This record gives sequence, C-alpha cells and structure tokens, in this order.
Amino acid sequence: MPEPILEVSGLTKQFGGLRAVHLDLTIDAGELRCLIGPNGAGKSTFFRILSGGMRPDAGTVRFRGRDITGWDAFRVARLGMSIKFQVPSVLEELSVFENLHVAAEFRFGNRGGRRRAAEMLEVIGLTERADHPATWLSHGEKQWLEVGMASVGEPTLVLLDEPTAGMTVEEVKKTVRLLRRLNETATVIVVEHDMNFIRMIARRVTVMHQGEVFAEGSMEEIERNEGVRDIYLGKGAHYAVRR
Amino acid sequence: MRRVSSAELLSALVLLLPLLAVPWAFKPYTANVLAVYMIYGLLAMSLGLIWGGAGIMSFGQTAFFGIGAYAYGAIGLNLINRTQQTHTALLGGLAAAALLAAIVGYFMFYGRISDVYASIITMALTLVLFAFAVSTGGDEWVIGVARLGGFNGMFGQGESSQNIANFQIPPVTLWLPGMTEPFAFKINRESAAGYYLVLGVSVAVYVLTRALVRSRLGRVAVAIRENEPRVASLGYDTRFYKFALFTIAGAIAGLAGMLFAAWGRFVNPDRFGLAFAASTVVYVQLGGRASLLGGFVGAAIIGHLTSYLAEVVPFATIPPDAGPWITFLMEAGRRIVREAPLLVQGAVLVGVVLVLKDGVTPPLFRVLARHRRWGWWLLLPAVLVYFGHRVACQQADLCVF
Ligand SMILES: Nc1ncnc2c1ncn2[C@@H]1O[C@H](COP(=O)(O)OP(=O)(O)OP(=O)(O)O)[C@@H](O)[C@H]1O
Ligand SMILES: [Mg+2]
Repeated sequence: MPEPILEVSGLTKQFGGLRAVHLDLTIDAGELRCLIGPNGAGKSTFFRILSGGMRPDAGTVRFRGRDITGWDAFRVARLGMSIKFQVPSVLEELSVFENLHVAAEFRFGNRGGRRRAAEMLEVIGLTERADHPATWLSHGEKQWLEVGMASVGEPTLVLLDEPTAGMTVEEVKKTVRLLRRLNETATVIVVEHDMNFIRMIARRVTVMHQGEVFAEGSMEEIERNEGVRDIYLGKGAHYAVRR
Repeated sequence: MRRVSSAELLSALVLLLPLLAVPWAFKPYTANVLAVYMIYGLLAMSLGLIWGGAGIMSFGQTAFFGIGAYAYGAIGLNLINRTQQTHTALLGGLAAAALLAAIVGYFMFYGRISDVYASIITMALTLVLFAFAVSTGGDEWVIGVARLGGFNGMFGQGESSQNIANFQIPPVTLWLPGMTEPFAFKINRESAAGYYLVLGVSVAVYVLTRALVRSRLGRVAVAIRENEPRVASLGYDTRFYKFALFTIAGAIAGLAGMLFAAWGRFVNPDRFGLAFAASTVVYVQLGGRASLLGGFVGAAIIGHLTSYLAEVVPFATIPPDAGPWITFLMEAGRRIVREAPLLVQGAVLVGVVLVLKDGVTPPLFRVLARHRRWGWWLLLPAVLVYFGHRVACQQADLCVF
C-alpha cells in the first residue's frame, strides 16, 4: 500500500468572482501523475499554491505528512518540492552551468553542487552549451534546463508545468525519457496539453475543469469519458491547430 | 564570462601601477584629488555591489557614507586628544553604517516591500538625515566636545577657559602595540601616507568584494536579480541574501565615509544631500554596474571632467573678422562652459549612456577579453602615455592637451 506524499483537501483560490481552484487530490509516493484540463482550468494556479508562490483562501496542503499550507516558497522547496513554472524562468544572464549550479548548491554546497550540475548537464544533453548564457538557448533547450534545475536538487516531489510546450516531436520524446528517469527517484506531477505526450507517459491522469477535479483514471478511461470529451478532447482539433 | 572577469582584474592591475607612483610623480595636490576620487569610487562600488549584484537600486547609498563620516568624526574628535589614536572611531564609524544598513535592510526585505521601493526608501533616508544634520547648528547639538555644526560641518569645541582652540576631525591615526608613537595618515608635502591608506583600503576592499561576488552570497544575489521567485523556489531564503548584501554594501559605504572625513578632516550635511546621492548613481551608471571597477572609473571620469571644465576657457579670443553668427556661437559656447559646467557634464553623461547603456567598462573588458593579443598592447601604452603626459605637464609645463 503506497503512502500518500501529497494530500490536498478543500483547496480554494478565488480571483474576484472567479473560483480558479477548488479541489481535493491525493498523490501517492512514486507516482507520475498527469494533470490535464482546458485553458484556464486552474492547473498553474494550483501549482503556484502548492509550491508556496501564492496563498490559498481556504483548504490545506499536506506534503510528506506536514501541513505546508501558506508556507513560504523557500521552505516548501527545502522540504523537497521543486517546480518548473509554465512561463520560462531560467536565469537568463547566467550560464547554463551556473543555472544548474545555483539549483544544486543549495543542497550539496559549492563543490558537490558543481559535480551534480556537471552530471545533470549530461543527463539533459546540454554539456556542450555549459558556458553559454541561458538566454542563448532555444525554447526546447530552456525547457530541459528547467527540468534539470527542478531535479538536480534531488527533490521528492517535482511539479512540471507544460514541459513540452513548443517542442518538436523528437524533443518531446527526449523529454519523456527525462521524465521517466526523474520518476525513478521522485514523485512527479506533470501538466500538459499535448495528448501524444500524455499517451507516451501513459499513467494515471487527472482532469481539471473550472478549478475542480472533473475526472480521474487511466488514459484509456479518460479518452472514453464522454464528459471529458465534451470539455476537453472535443476541442482536440483546436489543440491540434494550436500546436 | 570568466575571461571578461579576468580582463577586469588585469585592467585593475594596469591602473594600479601608475597609481602607486603618483606621490613621486606629482605634486601633493594630485595625490589629494586622486584620493577623493578613490573614496567616491569606493562609495560607488558599494552601490554597484547591491545594484549590479542584486538588482536593488539604493539611491541613498550616501546615507551610510554620511553616517560613517559623522560617527568617525564624533568619536574621533572626542578621543583623539585622550588616546592619540582613532581605532575606536574607525570601529564606531563602520559599526554605525553597518547597523543603519542592517535596520533599513531588515525592514525593506523582511517587510515584504517590493525592491522597486528600495531606491525611494533609501533616498528618503538620506534626505531625512540631511534635514536633520542641517538643523544641528545650535549650541545644544554637541556630542562630548564634537559640535555637529549644522551647515558649517563638524568640529571639535576647544575650551576657551583652558585656551584650547577649536580643532578638526583627526586623520586616521594608528598607535598599535610596538609603536613608539602614534602614526597619522596625512597627505601633504612631507607625507603621502594618507594617499597610500586610501589606495590600500580601496585595493583591499575591491579584492574582498570580488571574492564576495564569487562566493555563494554573490552568486545567489545575481540569480535573485535575474528572477527572484525562481531562486526562492530552489530553496533559498532570498530575503536573507538581499539583507546580507545590502548590509555589507552599507558597511563599505560607511568605510568610504570615514576615509572621507579623515581625508578632508571635515564633514558637513552635503554628504547626505541629493546632489551627492545623484552623483554616486551617475558614477555607477557611467562606469558600468556590471563590474566592481565601474564605480571607480565613473568617479574618476566625472571628477576629471569637473576639474577640467573648471579650468578651460574655450573661445577665449574671438577673431575680429568673425561674422555675427560665429561670434554669437563662440560667445555662447564659452559662457555655457564657464557658467554652467553641470550642463556640459550632463550632456556628456546622457551621450555616453545613450551610446553605451551599460557604461564604459563592460565594452572595454569585452574587447580585452576577446582580443587578448592586441588589446593589451593598446591599453598599456595608452595608460603610460597618458600618465607620462600628465607628469610632464605638471612638473615641466609640457602640456600637449
Ligand atoms: N493572478 C491572477 N489574477 C486573476 N486571475 C487569475 C490570476 N491567475 C490566474 N487567473 C485566472 O485563473 C484561472 C486559472 O488560471 P490558470 O493559469 O491556473 O489556468 P491553467 O489551467 O494553467 O491554464 P493554461 O492551460 O492556459 O495554462 C484563469 O481564468 C485565469 O485567468
Ligand atoms: Mg497554466
């Protein structure tokens, strides 16, 4: 019986009259959970609350058995949760290596951080670009760098908000490999719009709609679900056009 | 990027060599002037550290400079005639500046005030201190024998009953164990010790600050400048890093202020004033905040330009056959330079900043880093020729420009 690593109950965030988030959710240790939902479903807001970047109006978040509701972002990170934001947020003027080093130094110190950063460069395949400013990277490379930054500190839970946005098919495949590898040591929640990506991962899927959990199950179950098709997959053509 | 940084270090060395020779090559006046450029440079470097390093613009960095100067002055005036040295004054000045910076920094960074307001808060701070210092002209504003003196600045009050005259803030004076008598660092015809003190402190603080920038504190600060929420999400308490860097920068500014009070043996409220605060920002902007050397370079350029503009008289003689328009333009040019040198300074500054928005040092270091062969062969002779020309000009009146 796997232990829950994250327990969210009654979590609510209100923006004026709009209830952006209102949900209960449990994630077991070791899971690779996919979180999908149409634009504005509240996925990013949910992540921001989990990672301490925003305070909820109500509800609680328990992470590794501790109530972390309303904690500052750095304290949540220290407890072992890391996040890759939806908007690209690498440290543009720093070199690729320095980006990873800053991310690793917190846990492993200067020396240890250097070693981990160099190892992570190999994993994400950016060794050749180590000394380039991050701002020179292509969109896909930036995404990998962010995944690297989110995982180099050996977190227990990693939140990834749209890690394949703007990637080519080949790049998406590489990202899937990265994710599988990351999932060997960490629990992962990944938000994605790309259904091919979700199918490649083929794990448990949670569908969010208007801030709430709309459905949950395997990818096949979700694809068979009429309601989901109405709110989301029915607009598949729309997404195909957008990408 | 590492190369650019080593180009900066080499440039610092190239600048240091002629500076070491200044007291031999020039009159004491020049050493005196260069010392104050370095003091302002140190202040500008402290602003560059927090502005360039963490992206926090401290418009009122002069508040810490002024507090350092006033605290050194007040303690020094009281103790110099009793202990013959200024050890306590030096420690007190540094502590006062660091403490003020720590208090202000704590409220700014732990009080969740957006960094955008840091410039406004520090500016308000320096202006409040200015207003306070100005209002201390009365007889009641004394600390022991130190009269704050309002606009007229600080001095030591002699006791007329004992026939002791008023006296000035002491120069940095050391009397360490093993020394038979105290040693005062002065700059005059007999001694260049005061000049070397300022040079030595500048070099030491530059080297230490460079090490700081390359430490974890400096690296995380730069990361915060780039994207603070991202850095927080990596586990760093960003408030602490900003607080620590701000306090250290305040202490460095205070150190510069103490050197200033000891150099001129004087301090008045102008050190808290808007003009001085703005000048400091200008030094950093002009020199470039990406490198620690930028502040020194900016202070030297502005200082030079100011004294140059004070001397030159352009179009002193207007040819008699010049037409009315030419006469008018030459006349106007002369009057602008003579009567409004600040206008010229401002124009130069705006021009430089429009062309090189990051200041003059970054492109220089980039060129030196990229073209290591001929870059240095250009820079070294240029520095030597300039230096030699200044020597010939001052000692033998052989001025070409
Ligand atoms: N800071 C904010 N202030 C007001 N409204 C906000 C704010 N942030 C998000 N919202 C709103 O909350 C809702 C949820 O936004 P959120 O970004 O979480 O959606 P999402 O599921 O991540 O969408 P997408 O797939 O487009 O990234 C949206 O309607 C959005 O407009
Ligand atoms: Mg989103």
